[in-house]
Amino acid sequence: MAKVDAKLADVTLKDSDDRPVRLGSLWQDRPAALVFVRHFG
Amino acid sequence: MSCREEVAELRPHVEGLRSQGNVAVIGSGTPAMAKAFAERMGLPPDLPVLSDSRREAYRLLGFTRSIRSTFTPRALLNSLRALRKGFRQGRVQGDPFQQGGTLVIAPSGEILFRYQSKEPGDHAAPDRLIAALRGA
Repeated sequence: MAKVDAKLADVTLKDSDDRPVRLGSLWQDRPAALVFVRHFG
Repeated sequence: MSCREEVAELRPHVEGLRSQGNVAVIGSGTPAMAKAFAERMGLPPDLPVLSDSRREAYRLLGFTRSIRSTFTPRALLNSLRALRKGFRQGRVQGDPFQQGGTLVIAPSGEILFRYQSKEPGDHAAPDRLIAALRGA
């Protein structure tokens, strides 16, 4: 099975309170489902 | 409206998904837009709704961004379907030409599931995500 680009884990996003979240932290301990929507419309 | 439809479909499955793994919704708008979206959609307050306003993750994942992919005949049909179900398009809060997708990633970094939206209104069914998380 393919692995994610290692760079993806290091991408830092912001949560809705403007706090940084390292994307890789989401699947560090448990599998993670990431739902990329088109926009918040 | 298709984004609202996708998240509304996901909402009743959030707890089932979270019993198997972590769940996050990611969009290309700002954190303030993410907050308003989560509230409007009635998402659990502790469900991460993350802002990728530079679209770094979208780019690394190769999710399509184009004007042509936004206005396909099927996108129009999908919009009509969402409208029939009562979902209205709000003001677009982010990049209107960015398409989305869904990933399920294991702690090893393995991609257990990947779905790339071809056009607005094209998204993965929640039960496929639950199956992928269960298989991890």
